[in-house]
Amino acid sequence: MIPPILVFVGLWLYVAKIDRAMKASEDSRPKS
Amino acid sequence: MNPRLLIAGLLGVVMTGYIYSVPDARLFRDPAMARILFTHVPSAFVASIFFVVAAWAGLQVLGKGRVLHRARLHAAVELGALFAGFTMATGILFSRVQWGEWWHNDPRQTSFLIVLLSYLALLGLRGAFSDPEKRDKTTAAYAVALLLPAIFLTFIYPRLPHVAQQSFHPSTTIPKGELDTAYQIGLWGNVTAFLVLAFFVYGLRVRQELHSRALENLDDHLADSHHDSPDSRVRRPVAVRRED
Repeated sequence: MIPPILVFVGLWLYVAKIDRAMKASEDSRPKS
Repeated sequence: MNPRLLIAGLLGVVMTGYIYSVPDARLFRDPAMARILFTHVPSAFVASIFFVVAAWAGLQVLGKGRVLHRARLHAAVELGALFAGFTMATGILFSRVQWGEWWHNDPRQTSFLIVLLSYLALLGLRGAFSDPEKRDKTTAAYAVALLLPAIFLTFIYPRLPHVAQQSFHPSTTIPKGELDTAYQIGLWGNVTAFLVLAFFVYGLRVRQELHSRALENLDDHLADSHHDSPDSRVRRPVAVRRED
């Protein structure tokens, strides 16, 4: 059972990183 | 919901149910451990595909250098390294259970470790550049240069007769169709599910990179236009003394 969980957790963390990067670039968006 | 995520989710649920319903494989120290095949092989398959995608995008970046190709390059390198990491981790787990040691110095383990470290080195190198142009071009050149060694170390070197003799890792079971039908179905079903899921995540990463770069360009554009415009000179809110 460990290998599928490993893949799931790895991909989950990677998608969370993408999501954080997306939000960070949105936050730094120029307001003008 | 994104259709690719939906398909990957459905395939994942079906395949997870399926792989735990196939009979245990004989000739294994822990017969249930044979199911690691359903994670290990698709991970290696997906990693290899992303190495090719990275090299292809790298060639495009070195040529035309369009922003879409740059985004694809970075996404493919990262996902290739990630799935190579899954391959290595599941291989080490299998080595511990089947061969009795976490690291067995098997030629195949070692050659794939070199591949994994090469792509991790690429990620490290990429992070060392602050100039986006240099970062993209260096990543592109490295990804292109690394493809042939990666193919050699993954597919050719472990199958050389004198190397294959020393290796415990099976290399001919899948190409010769020696897997049971139940395991064949599980394997190729999982390869499909992994591919759909991996390319869904790849699409997300490409979109995020394009989005970030578009905002950076907008930022630069605004900074330039403010700088160039005569009306945009810095005005300080100073009090003007009235001379009566």
